[in-house]
Amino acid sequence: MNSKDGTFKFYDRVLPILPQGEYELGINQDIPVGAGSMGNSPDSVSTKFEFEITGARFSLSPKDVHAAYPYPYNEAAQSDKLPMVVLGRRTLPWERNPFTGCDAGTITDEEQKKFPYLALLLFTEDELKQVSSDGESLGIRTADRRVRLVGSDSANAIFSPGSHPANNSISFNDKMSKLGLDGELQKLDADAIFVDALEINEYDLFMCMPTIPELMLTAHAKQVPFEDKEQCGSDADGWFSTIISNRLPTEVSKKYHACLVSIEGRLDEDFVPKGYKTSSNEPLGHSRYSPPSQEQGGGFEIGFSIASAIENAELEEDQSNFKGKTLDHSEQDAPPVGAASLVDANSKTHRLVLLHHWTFTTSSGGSFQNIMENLGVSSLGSISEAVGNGYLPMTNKLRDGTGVNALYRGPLIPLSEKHVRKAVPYESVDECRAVVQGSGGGEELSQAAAFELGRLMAISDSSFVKDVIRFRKMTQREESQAQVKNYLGSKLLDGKVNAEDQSCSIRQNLTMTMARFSKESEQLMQPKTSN
Amino acid sequence: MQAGNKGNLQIKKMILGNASLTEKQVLERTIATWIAGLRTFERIPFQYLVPIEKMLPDESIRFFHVDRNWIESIVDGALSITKSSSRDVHEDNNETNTSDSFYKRILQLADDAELNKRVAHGSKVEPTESVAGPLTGFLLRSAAVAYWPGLEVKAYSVTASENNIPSAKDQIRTIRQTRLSNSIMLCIFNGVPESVLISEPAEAIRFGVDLELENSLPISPKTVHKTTVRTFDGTEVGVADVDVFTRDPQRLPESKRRSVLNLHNLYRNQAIDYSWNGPSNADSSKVAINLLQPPFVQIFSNSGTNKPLN
Repeated sequence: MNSKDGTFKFYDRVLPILPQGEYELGINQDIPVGAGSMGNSPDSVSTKFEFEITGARFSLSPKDVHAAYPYPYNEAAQSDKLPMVVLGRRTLPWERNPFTGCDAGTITDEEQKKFPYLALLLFTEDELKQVSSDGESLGIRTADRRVRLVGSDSANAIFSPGSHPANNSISFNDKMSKLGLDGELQKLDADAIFVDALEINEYDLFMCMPTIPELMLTAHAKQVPFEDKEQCGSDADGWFSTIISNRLPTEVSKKYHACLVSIEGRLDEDFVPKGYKTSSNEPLGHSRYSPPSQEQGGGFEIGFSIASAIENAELEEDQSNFKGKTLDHSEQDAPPVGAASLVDANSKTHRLVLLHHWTFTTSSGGSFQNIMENLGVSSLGSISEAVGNGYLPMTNKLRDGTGVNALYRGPLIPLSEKHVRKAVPYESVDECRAVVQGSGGGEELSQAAAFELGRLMAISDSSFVKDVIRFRKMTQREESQAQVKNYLGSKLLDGKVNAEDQSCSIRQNLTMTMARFSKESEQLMQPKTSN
Repeated sequence: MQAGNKGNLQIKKMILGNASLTEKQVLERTIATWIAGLRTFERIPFQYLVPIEKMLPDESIRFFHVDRNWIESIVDGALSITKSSSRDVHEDNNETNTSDSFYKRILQLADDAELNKRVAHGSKVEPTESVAGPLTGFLLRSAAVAYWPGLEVKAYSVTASENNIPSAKDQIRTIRQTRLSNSIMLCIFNGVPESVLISEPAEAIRFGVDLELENSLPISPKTVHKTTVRTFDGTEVGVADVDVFTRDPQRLPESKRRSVLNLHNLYRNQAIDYSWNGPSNADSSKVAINLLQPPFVQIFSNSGTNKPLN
């Protein structure tokens, strides 16, 4: 499956070969009878080796998070994009079974493996604010506000007997046992497991939580060509898994919190909607509010196989009864502002194991598309004040304080102009000034300003000054040398010495010349043998 | 002085990466680079480029041609610092030198440097002009420059449209793309483009919807966004849009609605199923592909004529 952005592949999921858990490896070796044996029967030795495959269960190492979008602390996040978290390990979301400790109804074990145990939830800062007797606090409980994984104080624990649904078909102790958390409840704080938690009121959580079928749809894996450094970053193999959120940050200029939570063992709780009502878009609540049907064995209202969940999650009976209010559209009450006030004073809050968390703020300026489509487009210099091809009337302040009209135009012009290189460069800035003919008069000072700017920029760069002066002296010296050689060459009677031979210095040249001259002159000066 | 020069020279040779250059070659290259940089507006104060604020208002893009006359003047000004006597003036003005005069030599070097730079960027060499072809560009002042630092700019010599992005062979290369300030970007192209495309940085894939900010169906309780339907290999199916429902009850205040998507409904959407052409049991990958949002590309087209003025 390709995409316009480059070739990469999407996968529904990548299941781990060995899920997390405790394992025992047995090794058995048969020793056949050897040549030197005394006829003994074959022997065998065996040993056992126990190991445990663990992973991110109650915490997630930051290095497992490859990327988070919108970028953490981004001040201009876009409202039309879904937040997502990209994990470096392709099997991570499916390494644990979220149905552990829950009654999964008719969802088979095989099908359960397809569900991720992670969900990415998005809340505004207002939704996370809690007002209590101690004042206002935020529902992100980290550092010294961490909670116990299993504890007796339901306000400060993820799992506690107090918050366990009363009519759940699995008892609290059974659940803890299935989750491998036996004995946690009894431990003292010093020995207990503490985790970061997301604490949120039940209503907001219910509205934002993906339904059970949707959980499957929010996690996928992707394979990126590993030479594509832009996508891969420092990841070794180009395989990633992604959890997308099901909520858009639609409010502008608002601070949002994106929370990656673990829902292992939580799927039978009240805040997890199981599907949607038949005729509308309303999420369907848990059967806590209506007695579970005996035939289906509790847990979920109707036999809940994956096939029926995905193909037909519209349940026939409308049994949603959230807090005694029916979520239908005949409700006439004016909505109070803010989720907190929709909830009763004694409303429940829930805590979820928080594995990763970041914040961002949505922009007020709209999306990139919005900004680009509303740009004013024109050519530079085509404003009402400009005359000709982009000349701007300005005031040239003279030394005596008076100003005169002048025109200036920078190097960036609206319409192109022909350029013919001058034969002779400008010598001084005054040479560059031009006079404007016609109304107003004044001078046109673009070239003069450019000349002066070039001069000032060159002077301010001392290494350039040195270089260019040295270069000029070098070329002048070479030229003088060439002239002298030519002159010497042209003066020689026999013209044998090649004045243009640059590899021969003037001194050598002269020496050779003088040597030849002296030879010739010697010959000339030899007394003639006279008879 | 001598020793100082020698040390300086060694450093320059190191910087140029070639220890076997003569001093003259080192100087030539350094000076040529400096002047070629000047020609692409390096280090030029912004007021010289845009004298009046009104020329480049907020949230605007302004296209321009480069005036080589002006560039010539600034180069003349820079080289005028070496004129310390009338001999120098005479030398520069004199065309009948047998060897290269200083001025001619410098310009030749700068031209070569610029030509190399431009040929490397795909320009054709025109023997009649000393440097090949016109230069154009734009200035963009916008929040987009501040918030999307990885903006990609591409110019093409052919027209472009949303469904027809030109290929690399028609691309006019960008000689310089830089931010002059937090919100102002300068781009210079190696020619006169027919279309300029500015796009969001092509970073990792994004998922999202086309946001419906108004509830377009006042009677229905469902709030609807849109997404583009894609087939299994990612190609968009014409201009098909499907509704992406949200689940917020109507009783919530305006600001909180339209946020939680009904992904299940999207998964079961018949239009998506019909166009899918992929594995029939795909679930999360199908949803992901249909929520893909490629980076947005804004196209600017050349609408006018470009007759040069004398």
